[in-house]
Amino acid sequence: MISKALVAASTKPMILSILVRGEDYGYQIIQRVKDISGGILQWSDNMLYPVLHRLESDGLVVSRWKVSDGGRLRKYYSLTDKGRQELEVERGQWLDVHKALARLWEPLAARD
Amino acid sequence: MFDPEKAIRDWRKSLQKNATLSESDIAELESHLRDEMDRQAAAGMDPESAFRAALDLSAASEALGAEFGKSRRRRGPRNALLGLFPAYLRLALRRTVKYKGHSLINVLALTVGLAACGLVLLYVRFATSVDAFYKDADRVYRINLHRKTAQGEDVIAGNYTPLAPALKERFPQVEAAAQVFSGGFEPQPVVYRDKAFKEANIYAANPDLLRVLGIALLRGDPGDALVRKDTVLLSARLARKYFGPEDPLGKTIRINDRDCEVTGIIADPPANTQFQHDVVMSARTEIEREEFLQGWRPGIFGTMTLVKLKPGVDAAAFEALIRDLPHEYAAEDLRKLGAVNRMVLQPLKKTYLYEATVEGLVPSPRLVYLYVFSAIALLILVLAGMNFVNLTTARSIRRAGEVGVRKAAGATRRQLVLQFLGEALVTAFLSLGLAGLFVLIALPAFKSLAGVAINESALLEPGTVAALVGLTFLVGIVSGLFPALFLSSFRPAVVLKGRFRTGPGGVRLRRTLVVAQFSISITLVIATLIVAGQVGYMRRQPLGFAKEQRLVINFRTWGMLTENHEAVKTEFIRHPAILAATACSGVPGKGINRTYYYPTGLQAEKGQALRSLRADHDFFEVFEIPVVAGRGFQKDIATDTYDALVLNEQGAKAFGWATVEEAVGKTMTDRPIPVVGIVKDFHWWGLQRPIEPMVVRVAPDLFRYIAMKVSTKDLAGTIAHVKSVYDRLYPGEIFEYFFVDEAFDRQYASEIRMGALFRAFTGVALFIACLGLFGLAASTAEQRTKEIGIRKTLGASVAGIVRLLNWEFAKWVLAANVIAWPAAYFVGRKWLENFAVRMPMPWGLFALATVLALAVAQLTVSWQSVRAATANPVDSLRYE
Repeated sequence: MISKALVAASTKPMILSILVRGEDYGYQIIQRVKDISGGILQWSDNMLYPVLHRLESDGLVVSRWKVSDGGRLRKYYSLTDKGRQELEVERGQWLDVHKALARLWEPLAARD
Repeated sequence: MFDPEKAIRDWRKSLQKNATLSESDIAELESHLRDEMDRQAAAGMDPESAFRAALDLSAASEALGAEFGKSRRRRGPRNALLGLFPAYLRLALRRTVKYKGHSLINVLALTVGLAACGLVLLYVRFATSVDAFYKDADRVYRINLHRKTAQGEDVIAGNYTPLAPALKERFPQVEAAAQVFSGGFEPQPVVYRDKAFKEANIYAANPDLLRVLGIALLRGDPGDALVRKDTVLLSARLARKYFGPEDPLGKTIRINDRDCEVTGIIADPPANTQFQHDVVMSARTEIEREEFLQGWRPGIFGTMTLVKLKPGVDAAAFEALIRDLPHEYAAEDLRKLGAVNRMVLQPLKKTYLYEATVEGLVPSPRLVYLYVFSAIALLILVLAGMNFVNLTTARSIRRAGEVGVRKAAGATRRQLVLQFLGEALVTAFLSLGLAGLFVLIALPAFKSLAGVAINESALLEPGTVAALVGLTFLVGIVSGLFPALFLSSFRPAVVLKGRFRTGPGGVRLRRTLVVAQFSISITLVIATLIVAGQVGYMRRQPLGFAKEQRLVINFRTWGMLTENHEAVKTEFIRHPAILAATACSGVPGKGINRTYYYPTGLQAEKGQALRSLRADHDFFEVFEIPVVAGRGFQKDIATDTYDALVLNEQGAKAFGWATVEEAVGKTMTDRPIPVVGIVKDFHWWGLQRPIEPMVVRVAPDLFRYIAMKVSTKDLAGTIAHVKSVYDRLYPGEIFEYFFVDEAFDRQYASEIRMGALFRAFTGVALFIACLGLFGLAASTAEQRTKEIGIRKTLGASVAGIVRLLNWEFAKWVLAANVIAWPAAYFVGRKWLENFAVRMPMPWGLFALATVLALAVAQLTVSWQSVRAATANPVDSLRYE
C-alpha cells in the first residue's frame, strides 16, 4: 500500500500524464490508474474530482460535457497548453527525484 | 422491489443538501456512479448490490462534500478574518475597559466631536429641507422684481399686485399663480367672542396659493377656499385655540377689524417652511379694501407672487418671456421715473438659503453660517481624531510588549493592524452612541442658540443616521490607521529585550498634532473674541439719538392716532415721570417705508425713493437729535404740518447739495414742499447697515406710535399709568408697549446668537485640545520618570522640574500662534466686512487669546508635571 502523502503528491502528474494522451472522464481515469499500476493505486472518486476541479480552476485542464455512445452524459477533461507546460515541469522534478533515489539505492560497492 | 433509478434520485437529493456541491458536480458524480454500477452488474451482481457496492467505493456524501469544499475554498484571508471578527471585537472591548483613563479621554473627545457634528448635521438638514417638501416644489418659483433707475438698482421679493392673475390668464405655461400678502410688520388682533389675541402669522392670498403649494384642506370645500371676499382659512391649531370643540366652519371671526367667515381648515404649517400661515384671508378682502393694490401702481410691491409652472416648462425661457411685463402694463409710470423694472424667477427651494441680488442668487447669511458651523464641527472632529492618534501612539511603550509577544506567537502584521483598527472602531462607535445621547440633551439649548425649530425625531431619520455612522466609521479608520501601522511595526526581538524606545518619528508626529490642535483652537478663540468684541462695539457706538428710557406705545393700526395726537399725548404727559412725547409713524429699529421724492422740477434727474418718516413737531426733541441747519418743526407755523420737510445729512447729500446750508430753503416735489431744516445723521437700523437718506414730515395720517421720554424713577408705576390712560382712551384695544433700546438691540440678535454658538463650539474645541494635551503630558511624564528621578537625586528642585516639563508644552502652544494669528486675522477681517461700522482689528484680543490658550494648557499640563516632579526618586529608580 502506497502512503497517503505519496499518493497525494503523485495525483497531479499522474492525471496530467493520462490526459496528455487524449481527453478522458473521471471514471475512466480511475480505471486507467488502476490498470497501469497493476491495481496498486486505487483512487476514489472523492479524491479525484476535487483534484480535477482544482486543475481546471488553475487553468491546466478544461472540461466539457459529452454524450457517450451508450447515451450517458460524461464530463471529459483535456489538457491545456498551460497544463502541458506544467506536466513538463512536474516530469523534470519527478525524474530528478527518481534519479537521486536511484543513485542512492545503487549497490554500495558501485560508489567506490 | 429495488428501483435503481429511485435509489439514485434519493442519493442525488442527499447530495443536493450539501452546499459545496454544484449541480454540475452532482451530475458528474452520478455519471461516475452509473459507470461503476454498470461494471458491477457486468460482473454478475443484482441491481441493488451493484448500487451498494458502487456507493461503498465512493465515499460517504459528507466526506465528499468536505473534500469538494476544500478545493473550492481558496483559503482566503477574508473568510479567516471574518471568522475572527468577534474575537477582535471582544479583545477591543476588553482593551477599552482595561485602559480606562486613556479610553475615557478618547471616548470623551470623540463623543463631543461627533455630537457637535450631529447637531450641525441636524441644522443643515433642517435648513436644506425648508420649503423643499411642498408637492412639486421643483416647479414653483417666486417672481422677484429687479428695479433699476439712474440712482441704483435692487431686487425685491415683492411684485406688482395684479401680476399673478395676469400671468395665469396670458401664459399657458403657468399651472397656478398665487398672490400672497403677509400681514405686515406687527401682529394683528383676532377676536372670536371673548377670545382676543394678537396673531403674527396672518396672510392674505388668492385661491391659487393652495394649488401652488399643494396644500390640502383638512375640512371645508376646496372650490370655495379663498374665493369669496371676507372668507378665511385657519390652521388646525388656531381653530382649536379660538373655537375649541365647536365646529369652526361657517363661523364668523373678526380679524383686524374685518368679520370673516371661516370656510376651511388647513394643516398646521411644519417648522421647516417660510409660510407659517395660521390665518389665510381671501386676497379679495385686502385688494378691494386698499385702492392702491388695484392696478400696476409704481412703488407698490407688497405682494409676493408665486407661480407653479406646468411640468416640462423651461424656467429660463419662461423668465425671458415675462421679463418685460412691467413695461407693457405700466409703461407710462416707468417712463416718467426713468426706471427699468424686470421680472426675475427665483426657485422656491432657493428662497431660504439664497438671496436675490442684482448679480443673481447669492448665498444668504444663513447659508454662510451653515458653512461656518459645518466647518467648525468638522474641525472639532478632526481635533478629536488627532487626540486619538496622539494618545494611542504616546502609549506605544506600554503596548510594545504586547505586540512583541503576539508577533513571537505567530501573529501576522495584518492581524495586528486589524486588531488596532478594531479597537479604534470600537472607541469611535462607543462615542457615537454617547454622542447620540449628548445631542438629545443639548438639542433644546442648541435650538434656541441657533434659532431654528429642529425636531428631535430628525436624529433618527435614515439620512442622518447614515451620515453619522459613515462619519464615525471614517474617523475610526483614519484615526486608527496610523497608530495601527505604527504599533504593528515593532520588531519583537527589540521590544522583548527591553531596548525599545519610541523613535523620533512618533515624537515629531505628536508635536505636530499638538501644534495643529492649538492652532485650530486659538484661531477659534480669537474669532469668538472678535465676534463678541464687534457686538459690544456696535452697542457702544453713539447712534445719533437717545435710546435709553424711551417708552413706546404701539398702536394697532393707522387711524387710531391722527389729528387727535396732541390731545392723546397731553393725557400721557400729565404724569410727572413722562418728560416728553411724540407721535410718529416709526421708531428706530422698526420698519420704515420709502417714498419717492425729488427736488421740484428735477423728477427725472434726481428722483429717488428714500426712507420716509412721519412724525410730529416733538420727534427730534424726544430722541435728542440735533438740528444742524435751518430749523426743526414748529407748532406755531401752520404750514409745518404736511407742507414742510426736514432731511438728514445723507438726505441732503443724496439730492446733490454740497452743504446742509445749501439744502435749506430748497423745495421738493411738484407740490412744492420746502426743506426747512437738516438734522444730524442718526442710525435708524443697527450698525450692520449704513445710514440712509431720510426725509421727515409732520403728517398725522400715518402715525402708529407714541414715543415717550420717561424718567427712571418708578418705571412700573409709569407703565401702569400709561396703560390706564390708554385703556380709558381706547377701550377694548390691546395695550402694547416696548422700550426703544430693547427693540433696537434685537437687531443684533443674529450676531449675539452667532457669538453664543461660536463661544460654545470654541469651548468644546479648546476642551478637546486640552484633553489631548492632558493625556500627552501624562505619558510624557511617565516616560521621563527615570530622567526626573536622576535629576532629583542630582539636586534638581521640584519647581525646576515642573518648569522644565511645562516649558516643553508651552513651546508648542506658542508655536501654534504662528499659524493661528494669520488665519484668525484673515477670517476676522472677512467677517467684519459685513458691518458698516466695524471695530479696528483688535490685536489685544489676539494676545488675549494666546495668553488664554497658554494658561489653559499650562493648567492642564501642570497637574501631571507636579505629580511627576514630587514623586520619590527612590521609587522610580529602584529597578535600575
